[in-house]
Amino acid sequence: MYRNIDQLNAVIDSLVDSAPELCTRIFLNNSVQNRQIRALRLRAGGGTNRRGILIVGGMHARELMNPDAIVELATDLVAAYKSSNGIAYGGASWSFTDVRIMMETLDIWMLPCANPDGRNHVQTVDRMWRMNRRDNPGTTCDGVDPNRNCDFMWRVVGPTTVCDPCSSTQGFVGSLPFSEPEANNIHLLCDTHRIDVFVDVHSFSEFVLFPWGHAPTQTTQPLPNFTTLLMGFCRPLDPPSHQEFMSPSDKTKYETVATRVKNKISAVRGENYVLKTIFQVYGGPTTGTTSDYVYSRHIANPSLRKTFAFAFETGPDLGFGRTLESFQPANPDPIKDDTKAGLVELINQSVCAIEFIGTTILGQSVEPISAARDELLEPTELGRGWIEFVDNVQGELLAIVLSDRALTERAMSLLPRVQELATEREKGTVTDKDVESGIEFLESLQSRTKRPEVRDGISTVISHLKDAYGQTVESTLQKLAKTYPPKL
Amino acid sequence: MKRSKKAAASVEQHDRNDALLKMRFEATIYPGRNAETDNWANDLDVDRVPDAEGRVRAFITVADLVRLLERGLEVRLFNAHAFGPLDPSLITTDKAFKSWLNKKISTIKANPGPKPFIEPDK
Repeated sequence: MYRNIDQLNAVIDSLVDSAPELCTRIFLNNSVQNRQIRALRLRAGGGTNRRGILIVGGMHARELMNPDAIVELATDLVAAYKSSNGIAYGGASWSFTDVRIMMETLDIWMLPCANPDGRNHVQTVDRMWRMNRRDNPGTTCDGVDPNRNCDFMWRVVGPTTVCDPCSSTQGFVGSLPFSEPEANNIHLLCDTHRIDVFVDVHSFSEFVLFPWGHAPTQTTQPLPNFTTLLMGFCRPLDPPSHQEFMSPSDKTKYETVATRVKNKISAVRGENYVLKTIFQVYGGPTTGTTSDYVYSRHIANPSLRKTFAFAFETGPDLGFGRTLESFQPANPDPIKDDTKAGLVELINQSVCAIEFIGTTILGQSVEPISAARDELLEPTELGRGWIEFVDNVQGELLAIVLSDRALTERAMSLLPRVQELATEREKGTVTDKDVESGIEFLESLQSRTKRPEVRDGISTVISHLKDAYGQTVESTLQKLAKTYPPKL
Repeated sequence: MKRSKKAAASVEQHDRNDALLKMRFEATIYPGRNAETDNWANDLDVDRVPDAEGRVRAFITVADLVRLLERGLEVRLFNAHAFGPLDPSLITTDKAFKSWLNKKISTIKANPGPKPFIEPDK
């Protein structure tokens, strides 16, 4: 069953009314038919400049399941937080501590139904409609595809991107980049709020997608990149052999996070989502998409924050003759559970304990620490294992730290020194006092964690720290990157 | 009388033709023998849908079908869908919706939630 626009809006309004301390509603640009478009922010507790995630659904009208899944996810998160419970979808679960850390360290933005006019048209006129309801001047043809209207490789045509409003493709790019309020709202949210992670939820085929869409992704040649390519001329990608650069570090991050999302979806009921780039979906350039636009922003304008942008294609391909049912199954509940699990895991993956203490509480950048991690640990398999270990235990450890005022203050006093050492990682040496205070802090954490494998991991770090006296952070992390991380 | 029967039949025929023109078929499209380039599928001008196996799959109209065949492409049709809205029985009734929402909201209202680690900014 699928909710209509009024019902989707009513979920948001009721959440805001019943839990105003957790839920904030904002009205974005109205749709082309002047319907209100609502976004919802979930956040518990305080702290400024938090990491943010933006979850978008319903951009394509006929992909009906996802707006429902997103409003249900919002209610599940709020209900779990308020009742101090975890969340479970089938065999995928998160503890209350996980939920609490997500709600208290992130700003979780949701735009459940980005294209309400399109959804209404599907429910009242044409169930196969995909675009918005723009009345294109000078033609009898309606609709612009908001996911082809973003200011990224706009008007570069391909299998699902066209410049003719009367094309059968349902992929008309519109009259200008971001001419459509449904697409412009993404731009607006990214410009006005801190968004570190983005996902646009589509259907179907069971994919977890990441950039690029306009060309195959490569990691070896930074130039030429998209900023030098011709766009805006209603021509195919030029040159057709262009492959777009993504840094090896970003590609690793995309693949790591997407794999964790895929695994969590699989835990629900065994569905096997596949990782792909957006280009691979149609085997040709897909341009003007929200995900590519959001990820490209920091490259087009280096003063902007980097946002890791994903897209999901939810629900299985039911096979030939059942395409419409793949978009609009009679019972979407199992698929919505997969989707919600994937989204919760993406939210969970957006948490960064060090950044919460450093940036949100202390108001300082933790960039040198992130850079040391990316450059010294990420290049090796064992180093990536350590990053994964920290990612998996950080929520639990952050909850321990935050629930004890003295421990929080100790973490706050240690962090600036860690930052200093990370900044001077080739020269600055670890002192006696650094070793002593670091070990004292880690032993406090170790004594409070219940999982033996987490205690083992902390023991290994402590032993490296003991050997770190007089060494640089670089050599210490390089040694750690040659040690096996504990299995969780 | 005879003429009005004829007129009614004509209207019926017109409606049938109109319905046929608006009908969409699920199709897979193949290059056939006449594919000129490797990128033959990049400008088909059809309503593509994702395909888990990477095949060229689309909703097409009769006009699309004729155009694709004239271009020398091979088209296989799998199902036909009449033009129309979503089956209304698939839309949640207001009664069912309110019952679901009330249940969720009552859980939310009944519980105070934890004291946050960091107090909200005043």
